Amino acid sequence: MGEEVGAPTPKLAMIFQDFALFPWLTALENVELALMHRKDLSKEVRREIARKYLALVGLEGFEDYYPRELSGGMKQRVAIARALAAQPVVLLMDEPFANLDAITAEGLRAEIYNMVFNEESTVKAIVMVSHNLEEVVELSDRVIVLGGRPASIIAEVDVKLPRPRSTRDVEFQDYLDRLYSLLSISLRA
Amino acid sequence: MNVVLMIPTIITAILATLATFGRVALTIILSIVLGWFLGYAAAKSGLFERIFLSITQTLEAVPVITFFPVVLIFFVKSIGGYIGTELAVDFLVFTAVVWNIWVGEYESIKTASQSLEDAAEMLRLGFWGKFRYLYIPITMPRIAGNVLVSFADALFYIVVSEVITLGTTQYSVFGIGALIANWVSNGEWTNAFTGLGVLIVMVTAVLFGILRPFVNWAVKYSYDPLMEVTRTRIRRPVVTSRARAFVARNIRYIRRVAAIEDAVMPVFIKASSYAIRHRLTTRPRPRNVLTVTEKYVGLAFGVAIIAWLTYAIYSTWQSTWVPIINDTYNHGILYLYYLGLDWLRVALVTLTSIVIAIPINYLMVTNRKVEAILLPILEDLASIPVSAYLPLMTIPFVTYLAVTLGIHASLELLVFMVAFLSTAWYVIYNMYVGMKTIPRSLWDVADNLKLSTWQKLRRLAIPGAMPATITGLASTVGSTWGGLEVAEYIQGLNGHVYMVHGYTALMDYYTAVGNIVGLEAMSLILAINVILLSVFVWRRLFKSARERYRLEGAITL
Repeated sequence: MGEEVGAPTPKLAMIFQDFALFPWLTALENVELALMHRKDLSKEVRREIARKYLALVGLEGFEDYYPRELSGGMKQRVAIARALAAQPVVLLMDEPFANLDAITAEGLRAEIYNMVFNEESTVKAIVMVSHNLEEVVELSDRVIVLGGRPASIIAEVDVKLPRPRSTRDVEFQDYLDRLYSLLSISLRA
Repeated sequence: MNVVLMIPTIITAILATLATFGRVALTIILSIVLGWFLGYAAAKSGLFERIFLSITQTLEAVPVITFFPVVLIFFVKSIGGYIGTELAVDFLVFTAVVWNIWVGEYESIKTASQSLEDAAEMLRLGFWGKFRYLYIPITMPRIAGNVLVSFADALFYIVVSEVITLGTTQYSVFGIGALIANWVSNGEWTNAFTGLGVLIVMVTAVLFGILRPFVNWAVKYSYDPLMEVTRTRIRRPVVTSRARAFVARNIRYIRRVAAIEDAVMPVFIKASSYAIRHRLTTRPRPRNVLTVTEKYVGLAFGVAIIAWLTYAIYSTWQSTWVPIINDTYNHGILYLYYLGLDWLRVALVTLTSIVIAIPINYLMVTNRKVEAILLPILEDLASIPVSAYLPLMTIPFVTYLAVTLGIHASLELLVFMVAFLSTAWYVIYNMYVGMKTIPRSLWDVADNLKLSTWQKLRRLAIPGAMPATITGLASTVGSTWGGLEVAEYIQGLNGHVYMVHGYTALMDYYTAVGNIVGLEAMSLILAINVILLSVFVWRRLFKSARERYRLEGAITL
């Protein structure tokens, strides 16, 4: 910790906007891929671990499905399982819900917190990039607002709401308003 | 001849076909494996990319067979024996199939999705891991798109190159091409026809037993949403509305019909339409930037090549180059005239193929029944090399037709027919892919506006199909040259030689009489011609086809 990151490291895992699943591998094989560099694990153990993570994201029974046979939300679940299987400390998420339909995205948002932060998981923090402010307030503890060209930090907002959070809460709406006004100021500037 | 006596013939023919197929398989597999590494190197290094692209783009459109005599002389003289001939044959086939495959592999790796590459990096797959899980699978659809054409091309060239006459010596390797040619020249007609039959059956078996399953498997690995486009079908109601209403009530029946449709929709069309569309539509990433080291290495490399060439020319100036220059000086006009004649033939054949392909494709694209019947037949016909049945096909042209039409007209007709048969399938095929992938909505608009058949052809079908047709043109012209090469100079019955006025005929003649200097001069002229053509015609044509295609916005997914 505290070192500068210069190259891909096992401590960082990324979740992509377009899922980045290998289309020629099944869900299970995609997750297994995260364990390939662990030479100390036998094939069976790797498979077992991959199975465990797939179950964790709620995809038990879909191990042998190819990405093209899965819905958008399921694909992103596989991608999350793959990222977690690498046992990272920090998880990077690049607009992870952008390619999902509104209802699927809402469902996955509600679940992702428990998927990532549980006793099995090694993840200590998530860095998420998003344009969807509702999603930001729902998931974040700390929001860093970027704006301008070139982009710089405009503001920092700590979201102090108990979990699970509901979009209908008055406080939730207050945070939302605050972020919107910060963003519109940055756009006007 | 009774059936029992024919069994040895059939067995010999089967073994010979297996030998020929073995060569084809070997060269195709070798090309694919080498292509993974070369394509990867080209996609990753600026210097290698530039060298790779200029070589492949030039050689892709070369009618390789025209250089065969020179290649053969090299192998036969420097290695010699059966091995020398075998290597010459394999090398020729290799050069015929390799460029398409290499370009496809390079383009697939170059256009690999950035997030997949990032993911591979993140998962620390390592060099071999990235190859195994990313770069090899990503090339599969393009390889599948090329494999039918490569198989057919390879068969075409291998069948003619199995027997070659150089001066007074005949070189041959064991294979179905050599066998049929041998039987025909001995007048053993039953054997010759049996051999041809065995070849046709085995080509069909390979097509349906190996290539189709392979393509089906490979196409599944496509990362590209473009593949979905080929599912678009243009439907004319084939049953009355009452019957359709009945069918609509019966969902299971509809599913069954849909399944049959998927089965008749040949997988090669899927694969090659993917290849063509991938080529036309993926926005290639910019070429890699040359690093400073690469610039110096490239410069040193270039200087070394120029120095080596200069030295090579200088050291052989008197022995090789002076005779070549003299020969070109003396016969240059004749060579150019013959070159012009052959290009005229190529143009005529290409034009005829396009004109014939338009109505056939329009019928296939707008009528499912015609499509279901014609497509599999076309696929099979495209893979049976003309060169295999050429010896048999020649017979009427040098006997009956030679008498009725006169020998010149008859031979000219034969050359045209053979060149046409070597080309037409590919033109039809490329155009079909283009026409088939015109979006359904455009056909609906055309129906809605009540356009006539002629208007639909002119405004929709032809312009929509042209980019794919043009993109395929470089290789179809290569096939036409192949056809000319085998038909312009033929040894017919009883060892009689028939030739027309043409560039490849003269080259064959020079080969037969052992005029090496003339052959070298002609090869040089042809090489210059091919390079000029590649730089000034093909690259521009592809670029404009690509741009026009984008402008039309015909690909909406």
